[in-house]
Amino acid sequence: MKSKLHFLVLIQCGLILSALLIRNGRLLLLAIPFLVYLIVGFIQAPEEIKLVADRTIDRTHANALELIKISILIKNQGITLVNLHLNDALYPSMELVEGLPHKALTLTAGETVEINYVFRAERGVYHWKTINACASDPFGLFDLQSELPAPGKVVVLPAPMRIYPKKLKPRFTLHTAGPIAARLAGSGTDFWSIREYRSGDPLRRINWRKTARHRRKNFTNEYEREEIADFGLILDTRQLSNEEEMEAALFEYSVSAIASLSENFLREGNRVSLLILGKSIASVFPGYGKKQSHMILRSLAQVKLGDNMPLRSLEYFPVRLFPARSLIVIFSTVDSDDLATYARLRASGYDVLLISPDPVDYAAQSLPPTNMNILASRAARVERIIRLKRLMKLGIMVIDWQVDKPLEPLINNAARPFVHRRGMQ
Amino acid sequence: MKNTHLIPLILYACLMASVGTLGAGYLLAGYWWMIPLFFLLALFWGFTIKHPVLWISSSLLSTHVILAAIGIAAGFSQFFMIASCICALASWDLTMFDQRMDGNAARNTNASLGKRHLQSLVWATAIGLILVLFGYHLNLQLPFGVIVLLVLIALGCLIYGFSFILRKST
Repeated sequence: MKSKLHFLVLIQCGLILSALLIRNGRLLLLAIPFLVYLIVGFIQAPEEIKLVADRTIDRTHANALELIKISILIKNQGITLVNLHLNDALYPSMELVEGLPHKALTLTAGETVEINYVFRAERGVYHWKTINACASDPFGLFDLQSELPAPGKVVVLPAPMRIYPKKLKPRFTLHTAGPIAARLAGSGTDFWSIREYRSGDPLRRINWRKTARHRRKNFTNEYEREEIADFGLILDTRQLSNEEEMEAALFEYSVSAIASLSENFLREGNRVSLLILGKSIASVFPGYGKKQSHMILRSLAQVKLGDNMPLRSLEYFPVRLFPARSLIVIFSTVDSDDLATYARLRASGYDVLLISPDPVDYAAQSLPPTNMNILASRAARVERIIRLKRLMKLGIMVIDWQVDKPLEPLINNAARPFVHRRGMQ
Repeated sequence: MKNTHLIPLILYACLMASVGTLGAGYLLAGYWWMIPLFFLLALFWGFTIKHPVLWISSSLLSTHVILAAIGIAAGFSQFFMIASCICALASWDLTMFDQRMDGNAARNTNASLGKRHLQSLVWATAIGLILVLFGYHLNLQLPFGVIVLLVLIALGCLIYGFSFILRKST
């Protein structure tokens, strides 16, 4: 409250100078209460702050918009602080649900105080290093600021989206038992073929009907082998237009969808890798299981829309990240310069599924339905359809995703050509 | 009664006392035509309590001090003028305090803070009043040279004191 102090000093000076100028000693009497006020404040001003803070967060990971509780315990290890203001930082993307992150109080020596608040937050990584403490005299004239160490961190993961793409089965599989039918004879559950009995085949697999028809020959049932597959996920975080709000909303849908897909793929035992393209390139190398899921979700929690960088940088695309013949799922709104990159991906032998959140449809919904807007939307839609059709001609499966509609049926529909291709193998 | 309820009461009382005593001083001197100005002043103070902004309440306090200084210079009742200034200072302080406390959660901890604040304010105003009364009854006849010397010493002390205070505040 420096302005308060400056104002009082100004009044003092004004009164004293006026008294001197008009040579009226009685005017000085008016200055006395202000002077005493200043002196009383000055005497009670704190000289040091000896506080210890301890922050407790009820969880280290939470899904977006889940409630998170923070408790900060502050103990005064010094003298009594008459006018203490404690203030914990709130991020703009945090919404306070209960309690307040600041408190004003008198804290006597040895006393403890607790700040509790509950908030929900959007996807991201939130970390605190300190809590701000401002001690002053009772009138708030002489402040003493201090940053009390109180570290804490919480990762808010993307909001889950319920997607179970059962029909999305890549052409090529890895030779490890898993959930995806491999179009090869093996130890699965689905019938595959019948062959002549070989020594060592279990008796329960013998096809007795066929054996009965042939003399001195036994036949065994073969089952389709089930294996895991390689999935590569690419998230395009480039900001392609000036419509920041719209792009951010679409981007959040993409992040949620990619998080759900990765969780599903990993839950089924597949190998999944992630590449985030935008201002910079971030990647999670292929891996399995919960640890991989955690790493991917953590990367997705931190991801933000960035400046425009052409997707051509995929030219230098890390081969170790996406093993050959893996199925790559790309989330991108698609720019006009991206065609060559997609062509290069196809030429490298990858199966590519492009899921493109539709910015035209999203923008059209928020615009007033004037003739101009309707025409503009139609023109943009035509341009987008042409662009997507060009991609489809390259052999890329394209999903034009209007984000208000569920993604799962769209993926299952788009996955059919993969199934057909698998049959042609 | 809790301090949270006590502070607004004291604030309103100080406000009425400050405007009332200032008005009384001017009315006793025969300035009837200034009554609307004091009503206006009271209204503005009321507005400041509802919407506390530092510069508005500071402007009102400045107006108060200027009017009191004019009153003293013009030879009106010094008791009313000084009492008015002390009450205005208390109103201004409590308005600022109320603004600073606005939005704080735990009222029980605020109560202790409010109590300490009120105690300090009472001490400051009481000591101020006592010193004013002491100064009011103190009549010294000093030669001109001594007065000049005292003025120079006072100015030096003031400059040093204020610069020290401002340095400490930063």
